[in-house]
Amino acid sequence: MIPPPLVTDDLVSIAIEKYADMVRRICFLYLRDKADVEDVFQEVFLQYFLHINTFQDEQHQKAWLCRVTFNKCKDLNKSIWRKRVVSIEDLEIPFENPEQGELVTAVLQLPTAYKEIIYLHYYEGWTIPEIAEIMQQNVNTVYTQLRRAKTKLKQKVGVI
Amino acid sequence: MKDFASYLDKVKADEGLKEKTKAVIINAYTNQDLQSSRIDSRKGDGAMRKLMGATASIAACLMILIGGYAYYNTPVNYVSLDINPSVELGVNAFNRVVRAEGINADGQALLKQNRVINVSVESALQELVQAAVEQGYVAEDGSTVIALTALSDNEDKAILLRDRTRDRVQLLLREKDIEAVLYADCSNLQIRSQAQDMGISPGKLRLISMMQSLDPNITVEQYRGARITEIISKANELLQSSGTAGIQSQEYERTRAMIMAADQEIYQNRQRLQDQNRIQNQYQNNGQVQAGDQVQNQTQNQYQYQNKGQVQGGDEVQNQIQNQYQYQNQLQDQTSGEQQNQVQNQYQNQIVPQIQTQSSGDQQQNQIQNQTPSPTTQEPEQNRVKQGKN
Repeated sequence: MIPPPLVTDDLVSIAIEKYADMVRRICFLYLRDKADVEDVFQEVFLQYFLHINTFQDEQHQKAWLCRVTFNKCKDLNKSIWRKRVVSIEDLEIPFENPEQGELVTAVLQLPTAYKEIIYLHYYEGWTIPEIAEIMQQNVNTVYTQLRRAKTKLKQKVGVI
Repeated sequence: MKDFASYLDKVKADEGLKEKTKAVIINAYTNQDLQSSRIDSRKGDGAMRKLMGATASIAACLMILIGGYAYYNTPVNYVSLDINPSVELGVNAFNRVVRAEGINADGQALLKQNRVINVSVESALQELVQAAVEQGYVAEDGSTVIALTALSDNEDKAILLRDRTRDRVQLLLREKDIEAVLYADCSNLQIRSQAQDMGISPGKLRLISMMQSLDPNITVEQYRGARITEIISKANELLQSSGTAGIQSQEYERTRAMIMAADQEIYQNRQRLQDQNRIQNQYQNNGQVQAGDQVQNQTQNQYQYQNKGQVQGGDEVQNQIQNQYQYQNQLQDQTSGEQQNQVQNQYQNQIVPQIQTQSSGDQQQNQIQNQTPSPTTQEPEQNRVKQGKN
């Protein structure tokens, strides 16, 4: 086992401040329960500090965190006794207008793989080849999945 | 997609969440005990999950095995065998015997000597019937009834089971040359529970209840120890006396026909064997028969007819018989010409059926025997006379 790196209060504070919102947003895509979100936060950041010496640059860190968070969320949803239907009603933040509500609801109802790509592409602004690298998938696969995700969204909300 | 992005912008980790996470992380990395456990937690989870998976799959396998065994071990149909030893076999869905129960003491003894569990129902019955024959439960006069009753909730299955078992036992009886009457019937499982309460076999109860419908005075107790043969005879008696009055259901009609047929067969078997025995005994008394097998009996019968014909110079049939006898003699001597053969062949064709009808055995035959003196002494003389005539 790799010896745990030296972790100071400051380092933890800075990292959490920097990435907490992003991790929280990914959690929002998958999890509705506050306790689940807490679990994911703890596990993601524990892993993060464990590997803190292996990151090459900022971009790498961010991509790594995205990937780990996705996986943690999916793991949590995989467990049979935690399987829950995502209920859209208890979203904490009110929608600005009905169109936004429709869109967000539609995105949340997408299959897991499509949600990831939509998030990474439209929110984080990564390009498809970058996403393919993060997700360790073929570039064309990601294109196809994005196209399918968009088709599904169009069917539900009309124009995006 | 702007709406989506603007909405996500508003999603932020609240301070409480950040603080809590921070505390946990710092705690994990400073506290040695926690450190190893928390950081290794992933590994632990994986091992745990594997263990749980293995346990679950083993449990599933066990359940399938236990379930399969329970399914195998549950009798769904029953066959009741009544000779006098009454035995009930529980048959599972795969047509194997999984329960064997002696209803009376003889049945229990029979089962003790013959292990029939886990064999097919046909072989089990074959074995039991054979054992019963060997132990003398089946009388040699052919009057014994072997009753098979197939019991199932499904009528088609009951009929199928009845036919299969009946065919097999019939085959056995034919192979081993056993004279017995086979009575095969089927019914539902309801009668089985009733029979169990009364402590008799379902096959017996079915016949007794049949009799009760004809004569309300009959009780189960009367026939508890009776042999099936007796029950069938009594049932037929009742049926004869009641005639066709009061017949309602098809089911009843069928049972009635079966009982009558079985009784008829008993009667026939008995008669046939009695006749055979009588003939045999008489010959033995006269000291004529050395080995009492049937072929000899038949030839002797022929001799007797011929003798009688000669002595009394009787009717045409007897004359024909005489001629046949002559023919036989000539064949032996090898003196006969072709023309003669033709004539005699004609005779023989006419004679043979007549002889058969007569020698198939009844009173007339016996009379003949009584009247006839010993053929052994007369034979040579007669031959000479006949040859002389020719």
